[in-house]
Amino acid sequence: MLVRGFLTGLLLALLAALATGKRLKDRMYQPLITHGFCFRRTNGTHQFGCSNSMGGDVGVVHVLFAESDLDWMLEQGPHWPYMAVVRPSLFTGANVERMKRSGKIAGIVVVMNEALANDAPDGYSDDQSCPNQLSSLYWDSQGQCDPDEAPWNPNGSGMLLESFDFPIFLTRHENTTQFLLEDCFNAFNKPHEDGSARDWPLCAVELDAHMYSAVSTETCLRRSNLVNTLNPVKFCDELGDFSYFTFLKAENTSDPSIVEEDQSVIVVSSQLDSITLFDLNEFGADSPITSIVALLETARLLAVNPPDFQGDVSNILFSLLFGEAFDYMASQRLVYDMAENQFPRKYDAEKYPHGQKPLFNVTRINQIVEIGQLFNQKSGQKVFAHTDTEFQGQELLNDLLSAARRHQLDLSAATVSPSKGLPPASSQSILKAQRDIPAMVITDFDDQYTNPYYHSLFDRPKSNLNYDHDQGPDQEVVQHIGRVASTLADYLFEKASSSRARVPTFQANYTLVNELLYCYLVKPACPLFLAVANKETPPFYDPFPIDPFPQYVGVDIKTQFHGIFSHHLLAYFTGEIVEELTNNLEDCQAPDDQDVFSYMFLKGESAPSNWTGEKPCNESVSCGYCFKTLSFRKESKSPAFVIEGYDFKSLNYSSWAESVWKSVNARIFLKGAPSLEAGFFAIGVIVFVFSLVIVFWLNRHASEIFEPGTRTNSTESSATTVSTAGGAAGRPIAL
Amino acid sequence: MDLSSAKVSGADKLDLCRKYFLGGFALLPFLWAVNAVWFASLAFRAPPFAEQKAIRQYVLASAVGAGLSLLVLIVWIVIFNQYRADWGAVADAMSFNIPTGQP
Repeated sequence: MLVRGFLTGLLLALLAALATGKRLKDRMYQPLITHGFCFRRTNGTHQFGCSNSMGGDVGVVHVLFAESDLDWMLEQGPHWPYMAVVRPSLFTGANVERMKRSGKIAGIVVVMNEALANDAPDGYSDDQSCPNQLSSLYWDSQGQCDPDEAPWNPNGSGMLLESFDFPIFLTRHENTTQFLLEDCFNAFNKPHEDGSARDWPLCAVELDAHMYSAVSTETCLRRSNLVNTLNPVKFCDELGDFSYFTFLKAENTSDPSIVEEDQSVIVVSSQLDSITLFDLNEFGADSPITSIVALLETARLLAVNPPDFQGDVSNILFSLLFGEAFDYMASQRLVYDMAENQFPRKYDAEKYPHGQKPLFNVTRINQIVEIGQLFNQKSGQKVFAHTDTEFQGQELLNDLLSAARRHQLDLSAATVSPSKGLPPASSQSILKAQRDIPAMVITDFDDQYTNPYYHSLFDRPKSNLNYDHDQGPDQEVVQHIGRVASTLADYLFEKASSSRARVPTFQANYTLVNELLYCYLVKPACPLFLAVANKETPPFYDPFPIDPFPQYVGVDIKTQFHGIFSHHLLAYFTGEIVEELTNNLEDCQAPDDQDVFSYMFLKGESAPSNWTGEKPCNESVSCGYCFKTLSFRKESKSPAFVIEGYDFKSLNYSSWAESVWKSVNARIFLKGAPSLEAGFFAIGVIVFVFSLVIVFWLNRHASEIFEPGTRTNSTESSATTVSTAGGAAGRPIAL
Repeated sequence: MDLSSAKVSGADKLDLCRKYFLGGFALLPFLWAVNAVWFASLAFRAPPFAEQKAIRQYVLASAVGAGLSLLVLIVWIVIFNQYRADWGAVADAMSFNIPTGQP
């Protein structure tokens, strides 16, 4: 008995082991692990980016590793629609345009594994050859950028301003790339030696990133706000985040010396964002990180050695503008807020009896010093100062040039400025409001971008800047950015001080510049980002990502960590520690009866000596320093979304929105011949029709086939039994 | 009401048929369709009875009404789908369910 039980148990165990329990779906499909995809955006009048039909698009895989593969696919390949698996160097505007026009494409997968990470075209940019042209100061006038003749961004493919009705995905995943190339394409799809196509079954890929919005921002916002639908759907989100600012000197409305139209504040600004075709892959190095780092270091140098502000200049405003890649959204909002008396904040004497920051209008701006792209391998250490065609500040430019000479910075005035004016820059938005403000834009190019990979996947630290953290503070890019920062600090100090003041020797902290580049471009979990972390940021809010923080401005309902960390760094470098609030997270709140300064709790680079908590300092959110800071943030969402009844067709303001999507899916599978599929379907239909006929016929002739009386239910049958029994007895029974 | 029941008089049937016909005018063409189908065999196939002629007229009129309504509906659906994108805001306001990702 025992043996028998044991044997049964063994048999059951064996059966269980044999049953794999893997779902049929999982055995058919191999997941395609992706790292980003192209999605749909809209502006006031058009739609851009990618979308596909509901449920996804399927195509036979064809790997494009040479131009000839593309020719074969579009001209000879019989099995279209194809899913093009493309190496980065072939993912150019011209090739994609060719695929789009052929109509034989179901989608594109860009493979960028370790081996292909630096497989960049010679020059490539997702953006236009004339970035932000429609919002340019020079639109339709002298200085207008001409896409055909020496445009600013000669490598611009304009891909970001195309609309594709097929999906485009990016994968960096090693195994997925190998699977696509080897197990999928080489094993099943690779054409024969003589160029003839392989026969079915073929390896196919299904991509799905169906977008909700369509036509234009106006349309999708209207549809999102409809109240008469049965199921309200959100179609798109407005783009927007926060821009971050800090004054170098505290200003209070209660101070009678503040005059609102005194043209006494120097604005130092940089753009905070970048953009690529692929979501979550905005890791621009030359643009915008070199400029952000230079601005932060300049602010730090001046905070350590502040000017006396006894001359014509009363203050310096540092600004990091978030959203400039989208038609100067952030600077347009800045100018709009200034005009609406909302910058830095509307006056509210009741709420702030102890004063607030005075209103800041364009009329308070003394001059603008804007930092643009600063360094790439092609530009080397040359930088140029660009000015407007109507620039009236020659002596300012001369002072800047001589400051550069003092710091061995190879800065010269851009040769194209008198005729061509400023390159794409935030200053253009401010000059639109007031043209006579002197504005100087410092960049690494003269008449055309030297950055070959502006707004693209390839604007990376190693390949484009030749940056390597381990090379230390002596490497070219670090030295160069440091020199720009010390030059600017020198220049700004001189402008903002009385003539008696002695200009200190500004010397950039190259180690710090190196660390900043490391944080922004290589590893976000770095010492400096950890030093400015608090409960609202990683590692306390979320873990740090492995890749750098994406620099895409994103939708207005989400605040990007890229901006938050930049804000914290600005406060960290320019603020001062409130000693008595060290390790006191709860009380690190500035008095709320004023809006001149605020408090920000940050971890700091080294643990406070008097930390007594149970956990070690780096694990506790309440161990750190309380910083008193003049920094603040302002919404950077376009005025188009703020103005009631704005006409989206007017082009006055940036009006970008991002589509909503629900599910994103990508998978690989083996597809049978269409004739086989059709055959299976036909058999199914035939069986179905046949069964209908049989059932109909059987129903008709049921009485002939089956014995009458057997088709009864149980109660009836018992009654029948009684009845027949009675009948048999020869006595009629009334039922 | 069981139309085949002998207990229901012809007058009752006619009354019901007439009510359905009139009800259709309240923008309820489906009532006409039901009326036409439901009373069809009574109007055309059943052995003659006093009210049959009147029922026949109502059934025919209901069938025509239902057919015309269907035609109008089909024409409208075609037009609406054809021009929905061009009409923009007006068409969106008329829609209960807006397809995603399409103009």
